[in-house]
Amino acid sequence: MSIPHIGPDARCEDVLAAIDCNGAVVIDRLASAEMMDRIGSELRPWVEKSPAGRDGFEGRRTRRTGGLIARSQTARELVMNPLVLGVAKQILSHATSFQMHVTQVITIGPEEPAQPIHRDQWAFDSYPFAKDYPVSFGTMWAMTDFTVENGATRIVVGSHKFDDQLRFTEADTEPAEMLKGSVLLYPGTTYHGAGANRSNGSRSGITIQYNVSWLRQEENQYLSVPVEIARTLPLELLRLIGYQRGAYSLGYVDDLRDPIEVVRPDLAKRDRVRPESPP
Amino acid sequence: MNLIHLDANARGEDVSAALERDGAVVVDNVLSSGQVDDLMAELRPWIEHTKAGFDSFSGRNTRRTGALIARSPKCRELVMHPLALATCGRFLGHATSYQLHLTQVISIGPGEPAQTIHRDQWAFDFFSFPKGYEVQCNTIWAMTDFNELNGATRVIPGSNRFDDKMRFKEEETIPAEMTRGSVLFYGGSVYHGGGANRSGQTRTGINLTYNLSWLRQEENQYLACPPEIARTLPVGLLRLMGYQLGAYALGYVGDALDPIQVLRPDLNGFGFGYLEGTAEKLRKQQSELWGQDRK
Repeated sequence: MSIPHIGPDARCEDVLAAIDCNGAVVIDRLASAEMMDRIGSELRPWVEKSPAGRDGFEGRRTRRTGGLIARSQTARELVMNPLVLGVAKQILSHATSFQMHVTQVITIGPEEPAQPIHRDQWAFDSYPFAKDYPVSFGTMWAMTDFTVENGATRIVVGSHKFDDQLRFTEADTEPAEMLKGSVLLYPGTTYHGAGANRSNGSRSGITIQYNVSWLRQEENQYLSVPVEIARTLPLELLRLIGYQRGAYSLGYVDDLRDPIEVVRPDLAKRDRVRPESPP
Repeated sequence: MNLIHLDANARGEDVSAALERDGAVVVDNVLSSGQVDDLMAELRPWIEHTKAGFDSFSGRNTRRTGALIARSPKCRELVMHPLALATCGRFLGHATSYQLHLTQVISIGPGEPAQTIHRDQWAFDFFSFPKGYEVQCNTIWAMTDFNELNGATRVIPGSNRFDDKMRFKEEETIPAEMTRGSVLFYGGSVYHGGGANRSGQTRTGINLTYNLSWLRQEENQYLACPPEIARTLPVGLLRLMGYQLGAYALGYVGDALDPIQVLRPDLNGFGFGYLEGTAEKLRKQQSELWGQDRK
């Protein structure tokens, strides 16, 4: 089995069918190379300052750069890509709503060994969710071409339907080779890992993940996006990064207020007492 | 079935054992009358300015006043009460760590009908956690006496082992009667609800809830407690409020930074100020999953 590729004009249902069958799909050149370069130049100062990982899982020759909502105006367009959001909504449709979970540039340097094969949703304390209840949905946007040599993401094809807590080796996987601007989509149930970089160059990609909104976000958006930047963001993006309640009441502030009111007091529906202004 | 009462000398392991068995337990007279007075002196102005609920579940004659970390220094101490933390450490000990889920004064006014009987863990989108996998631990600290007439919390002891999504009537429940200064502990899996207040007085309790730190918090502590206040708080309280990673990596900031560094750039390093045992549990989990240790 190999990882299917689909064109940028694909319909949501085609993408979903490919994921359902294989556990992953690549949409070729969904973003332009020019757009990826623009994001790259917006983020370059931050990537250069990012430290390498602290262990074999993060990767000691791998730099992880977060906070993309605050740091890159163009990356916000990737987060809000309509086709990707449409797919995320369906994959996570068993929950009331979903939210953005993580934004991260992953820059894998030469000689980095392969990352252990894992499920992203093990992030939730390895809780054994049922196979038909994926809780997160991942994307990997290629900022450079992804090749076998430079560490293209390795996928255990079809593994979104496997049991939990299995171990795999590189031989069980297929590389998600793709051109710059393409995006790899996979649910949190698919076993995968970054490939070994046996090339002389860095392999660079942006992972943007979404999760069901009753779970904690991996990247704390309330602290990662300064309020003065948050105030300038479109309402739909604010909602997506966590400025909305999950399920019935998760994530309110003080007296059951909608969290959006913290950054957009103009949207307040009811007159309430704020924590910073004693009565 | 009766509700277990323990005396104020109870240890966390005693409370946790009672919770595992019955799902709810009262510890009598933990706070002195003076301590309750001090709490209420801080809270009263905020309660008076709180509007009543917007639906029958939140209660149209019930005021729910949150942001207690920001608003009440005495509540900060209550959140860190050694008996509550010792109980959570045991009762929620199957997860890597736990956190503060919400802080709320619940003031049920005269005439409020009974709340629908429910499980608090339904807050997590009605996800059906397996029996025995507890995801939260609640405390309700009585600021007035709780009795059958004024709307003492109604519980079904032992219902933590029942099936999910069941419906009950008031007559299937018993009131968690307790004196002012006592505390009701109950798990997220026990069926319960606020009682009808048929008295002429308001029934007031402080609800402080803790949950597993891989779940979302009901009260957003990052927004509910302004940073200029948060910076002044003890590190242990900040960790509990969510200024620490959940499980391996949940809740970091920027380039995988410990979130406490947003407030306290002087602090650094995995493990510092974490709840007891968290670092060891994480190392074990990583080792089991990948055969690798975090350095």
